[in-house]
Amino acid sequence: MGAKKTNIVVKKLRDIFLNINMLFLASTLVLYFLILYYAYRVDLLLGRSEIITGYSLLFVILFLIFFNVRKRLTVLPVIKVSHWTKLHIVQGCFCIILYFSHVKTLMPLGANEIALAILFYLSVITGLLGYFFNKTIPRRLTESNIEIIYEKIPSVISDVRDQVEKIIIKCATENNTDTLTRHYVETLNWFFVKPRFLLNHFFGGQQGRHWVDNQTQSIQHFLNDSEKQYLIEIQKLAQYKNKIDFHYSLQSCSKAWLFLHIPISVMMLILVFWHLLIVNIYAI
Amino acid sequence: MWKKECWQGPRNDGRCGGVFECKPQKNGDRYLCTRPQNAGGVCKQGPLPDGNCCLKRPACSPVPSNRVVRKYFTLISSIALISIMTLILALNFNNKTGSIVIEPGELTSIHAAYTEDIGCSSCHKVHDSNLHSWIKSVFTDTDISNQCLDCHGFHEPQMGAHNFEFNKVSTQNALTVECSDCHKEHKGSNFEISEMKPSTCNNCHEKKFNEFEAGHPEFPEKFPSSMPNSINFNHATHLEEYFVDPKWIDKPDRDKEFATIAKDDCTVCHSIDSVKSNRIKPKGFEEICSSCHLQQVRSRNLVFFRPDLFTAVSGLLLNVSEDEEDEKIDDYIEMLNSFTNEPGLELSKLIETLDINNGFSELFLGINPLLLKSTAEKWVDEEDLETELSEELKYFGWLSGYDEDYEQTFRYKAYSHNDPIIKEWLELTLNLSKKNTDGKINESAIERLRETMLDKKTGPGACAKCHLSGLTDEVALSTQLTWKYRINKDRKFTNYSHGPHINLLNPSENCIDCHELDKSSKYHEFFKEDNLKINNFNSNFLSIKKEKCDTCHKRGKIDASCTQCHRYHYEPINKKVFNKDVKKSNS
Amino acid sequence: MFNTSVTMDRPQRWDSPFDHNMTDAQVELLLQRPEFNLIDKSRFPSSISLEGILKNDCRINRYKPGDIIVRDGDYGNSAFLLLKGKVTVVTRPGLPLEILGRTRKKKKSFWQQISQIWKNSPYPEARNISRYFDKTQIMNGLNTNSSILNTKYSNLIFNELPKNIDSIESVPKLKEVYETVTLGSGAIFGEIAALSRVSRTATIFAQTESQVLEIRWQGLREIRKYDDRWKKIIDDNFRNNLLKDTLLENKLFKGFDEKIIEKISKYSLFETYGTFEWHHSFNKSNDNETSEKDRIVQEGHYTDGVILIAGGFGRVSKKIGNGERTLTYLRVGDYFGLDELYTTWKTGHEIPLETSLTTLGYLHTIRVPAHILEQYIFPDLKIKSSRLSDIAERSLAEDTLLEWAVGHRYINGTQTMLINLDKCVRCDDCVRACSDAHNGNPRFIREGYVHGAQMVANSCMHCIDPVCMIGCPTGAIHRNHDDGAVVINDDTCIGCSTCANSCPYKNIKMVQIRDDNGRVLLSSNNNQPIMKATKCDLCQDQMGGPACVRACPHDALERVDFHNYVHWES
Repeated sequence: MGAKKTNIVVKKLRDIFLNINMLFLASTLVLYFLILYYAYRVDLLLGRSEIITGYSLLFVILFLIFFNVRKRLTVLPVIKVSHWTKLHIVQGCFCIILYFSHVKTLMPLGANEIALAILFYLSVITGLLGYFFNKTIPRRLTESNIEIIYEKIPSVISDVRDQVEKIIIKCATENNTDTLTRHYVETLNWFFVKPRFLLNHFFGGQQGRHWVDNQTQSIQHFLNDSEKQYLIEIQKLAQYKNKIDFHYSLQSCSKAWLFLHIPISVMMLILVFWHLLIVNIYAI
Repeated sequence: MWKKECWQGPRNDGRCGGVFECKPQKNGDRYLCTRPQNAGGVCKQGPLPDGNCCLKRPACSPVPSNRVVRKYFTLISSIALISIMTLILALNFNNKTGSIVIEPGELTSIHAAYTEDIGCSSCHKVHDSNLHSWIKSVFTDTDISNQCLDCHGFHEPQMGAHNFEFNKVSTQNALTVECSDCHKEHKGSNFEISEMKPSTCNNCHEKKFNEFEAGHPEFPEKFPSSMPNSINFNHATHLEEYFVDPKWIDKPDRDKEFATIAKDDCTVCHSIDSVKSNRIKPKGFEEICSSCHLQQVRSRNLVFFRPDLFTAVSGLLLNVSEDEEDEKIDDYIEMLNSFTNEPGLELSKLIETLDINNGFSELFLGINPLLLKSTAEKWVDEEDLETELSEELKYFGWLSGYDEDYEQTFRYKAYSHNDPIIKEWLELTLNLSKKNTDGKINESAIERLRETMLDKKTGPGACAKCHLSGLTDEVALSTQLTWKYRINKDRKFTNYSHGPHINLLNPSENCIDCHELDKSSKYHEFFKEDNLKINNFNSNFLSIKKEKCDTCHKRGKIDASCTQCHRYHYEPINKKVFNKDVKKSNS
Repeated sequence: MFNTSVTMDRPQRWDSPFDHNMTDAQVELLLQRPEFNLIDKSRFPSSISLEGILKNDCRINRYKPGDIIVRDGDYGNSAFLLLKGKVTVVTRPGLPLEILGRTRKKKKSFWQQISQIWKNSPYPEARNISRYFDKTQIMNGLNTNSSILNTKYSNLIFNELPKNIDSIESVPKLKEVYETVTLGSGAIFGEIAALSRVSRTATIFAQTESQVLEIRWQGLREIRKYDDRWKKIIDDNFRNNLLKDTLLENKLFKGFDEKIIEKISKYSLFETYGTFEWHHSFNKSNDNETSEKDRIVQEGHYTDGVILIAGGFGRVSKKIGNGERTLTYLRVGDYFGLDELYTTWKTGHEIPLETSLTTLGYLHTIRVPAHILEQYIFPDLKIKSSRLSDIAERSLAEDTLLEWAVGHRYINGTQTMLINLDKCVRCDDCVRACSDAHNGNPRFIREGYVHGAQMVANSCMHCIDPVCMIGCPTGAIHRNHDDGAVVINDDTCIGCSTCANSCPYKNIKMVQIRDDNGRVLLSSNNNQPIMKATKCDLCQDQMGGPACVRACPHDALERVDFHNYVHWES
């Protein structure tokens, strides 16, 4: 029994440490250590360690940027994208070390360099933000218990709206009243027309559900039993639509961060090349 | 946007995919609906008679997908960035606005001021040149250090480590150091460009350390006085005996009052009014020595002639060695004879014959030809000269007749310290003994003169008693620092300043905190030897220990970086700046 | 409240006959043949008469010399009785794949792979249509039987090709490298594949002008059931060809002497349960309830033998509360009821079955009688029998995945696309990669049933029991010999939608095809668009395996063998 337990422990440890993530992490650390050690040696010999760290940083940045290219070359038989992702994250985090060993200050001087530094920081920050989104949003989406493709959301919302309107019309013709119709036109339509409460959904609030419950509750006592049945149908559809809103909000976020990360990184790359050029012409 | 999409979807170019549900096909004379199953199948109504679909919907404007928007967003922001940079560059390449897309930071204010007119190309030669050399510059090394030398001058080798030829370590000699290795520019206008971290020194120095207290080696033995000064002044005997012992201070020609204050207060003798260098100079002879030692200066004669004997001086003048004296005694008598006519003319003839008049024009300054003439006349007649001079003039200057030992001599007696004639004769002696190249003058005569002049006991003016090291030391001689207080040039790269230390301490009392008197030192022994060997010198102060410094100079207290005490450049000069400025203002 | 109801007649067995053109006269003629003449018609129940079987479950096919009747590797649900003429059986190793219309797509070179990025068509489902035009008859959907003479590869297999193919009376001899058997009138073939749902093991083509009676699996089952002569022929054939191998491969008999196995095979009975086309009923009523007619053995009853699973899937269940709990499912190589029999034999007390076995759609079993086991197997039984009922010890929550997988028949999948929704950021990179690997057309949709955080996406699962392949008229949909992937040969697909309709998971999509300029291709006959079946092909022409898996940035997407997955998870 004891042996079995140790086996499990060994296996767990192996799972934790002998996987591809650890390999990437370890190799990155070793690589960085070698680069930094070499730069330190060069420094000792009155050389310019900036050249070593600078070019290393350049290659790391190119590697990071190439992730985008690799994602475009979807069918290319070169290393699974998931491995690229892991390397991208690891390198993206650790290149900060290289960055500081190159720049040696929090904020350099000179407009060009300041712009470069700010873009670097922004791309790192947006990258970390994206990492955070990627780690948290899928789980939250799963927990909503529905699954919907982002591009289909407009048409699904339109479907739901059509259904609700059909119910309303049916209710009106059957009961000869316009209470529900009126309520729909005055209030509910606003909700069904497009995704609502997006910010609240993003921060995990229940405003949408609360609103739907409120709006259905508030007209209960104007309705007879038959109409109430229709109201329940509408409420169900509204709650479903609320979940779609939730998906829309979160899926938008999980795409939106790239709207910052990619343009910032590309602009940074432009400045990196400019910096490289200027340094080569003027300094080395 | 929040509508249902049609089954066809937009076209490839992003336009609306059409307003009809299907495109009916003609089969014979009938049109058939072609809507596929997954879009609802064949419609009930069927196509219109003209062959158009019966289901028409309003055209839409398709929304680009997220990825397309992102692509354009990226593209536009990149293009914007590039065009802004290009615009700035194109409009203002050479002025301040243009350089912001190039400059990696402001220059230090002083460099900025000096490069104002020429701009970037003051240092970056490539800045003003054409595209070709820009491209070339990408692939070749850029040399900045040479431009530094436009303004800054250094001891040769200018790019060598410490601007100094280190003979001992050949590898270090070969090491060239670029200015930019240590001095970083473009770090802001207030950047201390010459401030160095210990790591900079550690690059080359094999003993590497970052903190003075922990890593700096112990100071050498005999630090800081490994070399004798030009003046033989024994602090130990003065402070312990001459200033204290009644045997000395009670002597009539001694200034007891001075001795009493000087024994406890260093500043009585050492001036601290203007302490800029690492030396605290002693005050002059007149101020601090003469009250006791003036009498010694005045008590010695420089004997030129005797009635029937060669002296050291007359031996030199006639170029006669000591051995030949008896044979040449006739020459001597003849010389005395000649003095009876025109003594001044005769003396200058003698000097010209010896070819020593060059540079030594004051050897017989203020000599009274009549005195010499009358002396010579008496001596030729084998009579003694009896001079009756006033009391004042009796003891100093050019004298003749009986001296203190009742000998007939023609002599000179110094009145005070720094007597020009004695000094002139001493320098002549040193000069001859150093370089009597053509052998014109008899070696033995020079040697005799030298012995006479440098004799501590009887030497004229008693100069050698104190100035001996200065007079015999090769280094001192070569640098013409025979007389003056010698600035120690051995520690070329050490840069200790007494100033701040003295201001912190009580100067009259705390000197001995560092400069502790070594009573058992064999200071005087060094000066006894004939041939002074610097290695045998012992200061009469104990050597200063590192601990003295690191009580204050340590981490968290007072800065103890290398450049606090050491300087890198050996004799830096900025003369070229002035040349340039002068040139500029001329043109 | 909103449901509207429509009435219809209760569907009957022979509502849709195999061939509407079968006439009573043809049935009469058939009944005069010795194969049917000798059958005792009185043994057939009145609702299922022999005439009815011949009329509704059979059809008569005519083959020209060279026409392929059965393809090696096909799945089929019918057996054949040769009425007239001669057919040639080419045994394995059989004819080249090109002849059978299933050329394996060549792997793309690295450069081709990269050039997909800009070479992919901007239009959906665009193809180089020129390759279709040398097979116009296939395009028109008229002749579904392709002939081995009509392919351009024919010279590969014949010594000498006849100059004028139409005029020849019989097909020339194949080259010596192919082993052939010639069958004459009265021969029955293809029944093993039909009954035990394994792939055809040989290619059979018409040597001369031939007439063949094709008997649907259901009809064959009835004839075998009620006529001893047919049963003997079929069973003997089965015993000789398949049963022994099946038994030898079974883990229960591992290490036993071959002679004992032979003896066992002699006494073993084989049975089929459920419906061959289970996917039709599954699609109509997607419920998870066990109907009584699917039950093979009942919990609490006594059994007279061990049931070995030879094909299909069986569900092991136990009553719990008001429902039936799925404990596990059995597939080829598994067995049922051993534990109870063994305990009975050991203790002498007869023990009833602790669990029920029901068929999941279709089940092919081999029943090994108890006395044979007691005589030959139990004394030397080495494997430690695990009690199926022990699984019931697990908590109900632990088995929800299994219940779900069985309910949706995902147990069938060997390359099921499983997406971990806790990792998936919904970026659709998988779909994009799939699209890039297939000329701009994704072959799956990132939608599907979800259990917990696992989604089974709408992508071909490459089933163990590939129902889609049953009934493909040209053999365009087939299983690759080397990797087992189910793929469609676009060149020979005629767009009949059989496979797409058969797939219980709706993972085959019929598409309109276009030429390279984006023009929709229409049939010259009726102006209807020409359709092709498309589905996931596991990126067989791409280097590095499925592009979807390689493109997933967060390791969320896997292709799993569901059997391993379910058991690994629990």
